[in-house]
Amino acid sequence: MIPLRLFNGSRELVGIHLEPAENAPPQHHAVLLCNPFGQEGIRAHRLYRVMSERLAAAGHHVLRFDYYGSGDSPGSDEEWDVQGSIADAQTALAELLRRSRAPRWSAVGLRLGGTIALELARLAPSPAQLLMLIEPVLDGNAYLRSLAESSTQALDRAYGVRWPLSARLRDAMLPDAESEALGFYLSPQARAQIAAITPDCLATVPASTLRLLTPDSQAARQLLQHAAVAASPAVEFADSDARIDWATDSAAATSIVPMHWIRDLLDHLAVQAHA
Amino acid sequence: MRETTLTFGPQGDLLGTVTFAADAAPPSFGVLLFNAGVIHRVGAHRVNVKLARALAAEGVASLRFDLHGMGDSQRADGRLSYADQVVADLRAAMDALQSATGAPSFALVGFCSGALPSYWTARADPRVSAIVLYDALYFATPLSVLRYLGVRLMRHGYGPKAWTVWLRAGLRGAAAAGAKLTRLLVRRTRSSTARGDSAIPAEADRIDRRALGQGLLALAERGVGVMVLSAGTDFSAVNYADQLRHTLGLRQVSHPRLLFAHLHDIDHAVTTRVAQQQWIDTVRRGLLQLAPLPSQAASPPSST
Repeated sequence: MIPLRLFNGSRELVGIHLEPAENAPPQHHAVLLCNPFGQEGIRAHRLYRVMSERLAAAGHHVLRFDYYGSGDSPGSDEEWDVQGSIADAQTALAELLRRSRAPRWSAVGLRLGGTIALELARLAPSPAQLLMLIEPVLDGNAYLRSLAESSTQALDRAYGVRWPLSARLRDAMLPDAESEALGFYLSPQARAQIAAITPDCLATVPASTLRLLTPDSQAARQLLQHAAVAASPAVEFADSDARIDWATDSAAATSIVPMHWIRDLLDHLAVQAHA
Repeated sequence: MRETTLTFGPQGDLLGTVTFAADAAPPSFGVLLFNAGVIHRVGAHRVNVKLARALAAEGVASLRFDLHGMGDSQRADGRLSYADQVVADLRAAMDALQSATGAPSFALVGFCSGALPSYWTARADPRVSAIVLYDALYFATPLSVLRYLGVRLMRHGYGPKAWTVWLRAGLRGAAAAGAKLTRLLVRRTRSSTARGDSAIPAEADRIDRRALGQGLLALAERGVGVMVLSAGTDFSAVNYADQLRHTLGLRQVSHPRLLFAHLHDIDHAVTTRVAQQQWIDTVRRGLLQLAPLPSQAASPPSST
């Protein structure tokens, strides 16, 4: 495990590079992990750590990193946005390919990390092998609404009976839903970039395989059909088979790691190796 | 302000990020920030990152890091108990920050589950000049119970629905009291022989609040700044300013290096940005007041 500081121009990023385990067969296939946004990013940390260790144990170079203005990276919350994160992901991918010398690459993105992985694939110098999007955001406006709802629920849960009783408390603590999501700032431009996400984001992606793990794969399929999205490559849908609320401030479930997602990822990377 | 990420510790298996002040002058003290529960080193809602940068603006360096088995640090080898391991990790972090910045003494910010490890480390290592214990101690008093019941009564009223709520609460309370009595009886039947060579006191398993109060006072008398913070949250735990001071047996005690503050409006996890800023301002001010050793302090501190 090698801690890195990467530079996307003046934007400094913190990353962790894992080299293939010594006893693992080298895969010549690097994997980049793209974080979700805000509180979902904090809750995904454990999953990404375990996922990166398993990937390295299987012989892959892996890089996980924090976008500028998020996680452990420099930059304030106010400086985070989707487009900047996509550019940061390009920097991270370039560094991963330079360090690994791998001829092939894949990316994984949970929630909004899926959006970033998709756009990265469109901008990358070579096509991705596998893009695995886990519970991705396919409707930006619905995602913003769910974040606002989660924020309200979090405060209701935290303050309990005090919340409905105390107008003073609500005046002091209730955030503007337009600019804050579960304690993380949402700039107008970040909000607009998220709102612009539609199922069209899955159309024509330069990747050999585009795999989606969603809570309800049938509903996701219908969403694409309804939006008349002609995805290329054809999207592989699978149920994520998990009921994890990523957008909550409850720490109790932050160490959840669905191992069946990691096994699914390893299995599909192995298929790519033999393709 | 500059930041660098490094590995450290005897096996190089701990990972953290040092935040330096803009000028290269050695800071008068350094600050350690670490995990709250299972959250990695950035802290709940990234407050460790924000506090580190606020401190750097005041010329104070910090290291935010992951304890063994947490965040990006490697797992512990199991040779030490949990309590001894976290103290060893915090001492290794002090070594690393001392080496990186020249800081001669350290303040430890214990957020929730980090509170007792901060206290244990302050007892074990003379380099610790201040500790912050944030929202980890809950001891009820008759007044705190009344205040909590009062606010619930105001919410639920007196109708049939309210009586259902009260009945459920009463049954839960009776069950909890029964379980507590059982635990007490079981504990009394166990041997009270010594617990081996661990330097960590019995608080690792069960907090003796009076002993903890005396331990905190002993630290203050030794010159260690102690700041005990509580969050208002839903009033179920701490809900008035002197609750912890009283329950720790320090009602009559006034010591300039032992401060208590109740953050009435913030929730435990500092969920909103307003709550985060209140927490950061409170901790930053407290550290600047308490962490320099008494001989270094610019002005005599005052208690709240």
